[in-house]
Amino acid sequence: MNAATRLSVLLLASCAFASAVRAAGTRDDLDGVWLFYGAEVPEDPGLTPAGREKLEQYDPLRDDADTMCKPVTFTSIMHTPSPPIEIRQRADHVEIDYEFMDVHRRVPLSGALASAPYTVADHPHMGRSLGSYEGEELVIDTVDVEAGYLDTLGFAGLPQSAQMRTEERFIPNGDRLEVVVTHHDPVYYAKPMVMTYDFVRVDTTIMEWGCTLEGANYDERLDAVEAEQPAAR
Amino acid sequence: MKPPYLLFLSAGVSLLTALAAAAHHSVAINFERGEPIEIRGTVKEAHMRNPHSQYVVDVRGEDGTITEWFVEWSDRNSLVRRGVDLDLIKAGDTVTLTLWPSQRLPNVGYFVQAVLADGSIYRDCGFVQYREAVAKSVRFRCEEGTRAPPQ
Repeated sequence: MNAATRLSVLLLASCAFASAVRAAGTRDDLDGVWLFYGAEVPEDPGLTPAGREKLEQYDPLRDDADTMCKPVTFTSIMHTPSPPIEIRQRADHVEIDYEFMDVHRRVPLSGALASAPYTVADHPHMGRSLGSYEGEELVIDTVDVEAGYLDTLGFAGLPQSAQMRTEERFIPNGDRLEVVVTHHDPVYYAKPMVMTYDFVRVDTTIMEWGCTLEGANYDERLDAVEAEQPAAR
Repeated sequence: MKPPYLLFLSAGVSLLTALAAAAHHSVAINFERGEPIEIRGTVKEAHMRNPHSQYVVDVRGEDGTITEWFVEWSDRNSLVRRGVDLDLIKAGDTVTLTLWPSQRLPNVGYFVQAVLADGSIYRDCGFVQYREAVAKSVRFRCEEGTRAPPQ
């Protein structure tokens, strides 16, 4: 074994050790239904000038795809406080059902990311994903997303380019789950932008969301109220 | 309209919960959770749906004019999980509603409590209480959410 190989083995072992230490649970703990329990959003997302300009242009009535029953991104979905998510680990793939917007995601555990199938079959704008395990943590990489807005809930108006690469790290801890999401986007972010989500295990089942344009566009109706009664309040 | 959620960027506030930083969907951002207001009127529409449930209520003023109020509540699925009767308030019911008023729009509020058509009182415990029960692994019970007898 030459020096370079020894170094590689050492690095891999270190990563696995670090992962094992960070994850207080086992990967089996990941299976189940999870309820959002809070998130940490960066004070400074490290936007480039183009990113700041895109953020300033954000108009929720025009740019929030949720109002058109089109789920924005996984980053945005995970900010929704009440609809839970369910994780099911299989031998060769992982299924994640997000109650919000009825998003059913399938993540293969082998193959190439660039040629992976769209992770949500009926929403190709959400990109292609590939999963793997590092110790007890599930790591999902996603690419080939549609340019637009990354988040309309937690940090509304954060942009994303088609070059965005996202790493989601699911860290089990018994009945708690931490998901660390690192966004790499050279167009809109000068540094990796990290959001952290906390979940608690919940004894429930995923229900149908049944998004309708009438229900999702309620804000538009409210703004019509504002337009009609500008002098009130 | 100036999007209020852009303000937190310049303010540089560190955000530890999603709701605190949320946009137009957010109850915390859009409604004043301080002093509630009360309206009495006839329910014109009741929509128990996602992402928000809504009632449209006709409120008659002292001069006889009718003002339409929009009342927002939790998403349907969340109400089901909290054990709320989705037929609690129906179109045609005359109710008195206690609301958190909208911070940006007139005649819009968020549901807190209702005096129902039969005179009983229903008060919502809210999603946060449900979530805390889940986090503590205790059975969710909403004592306030049970119908109280007429006063």
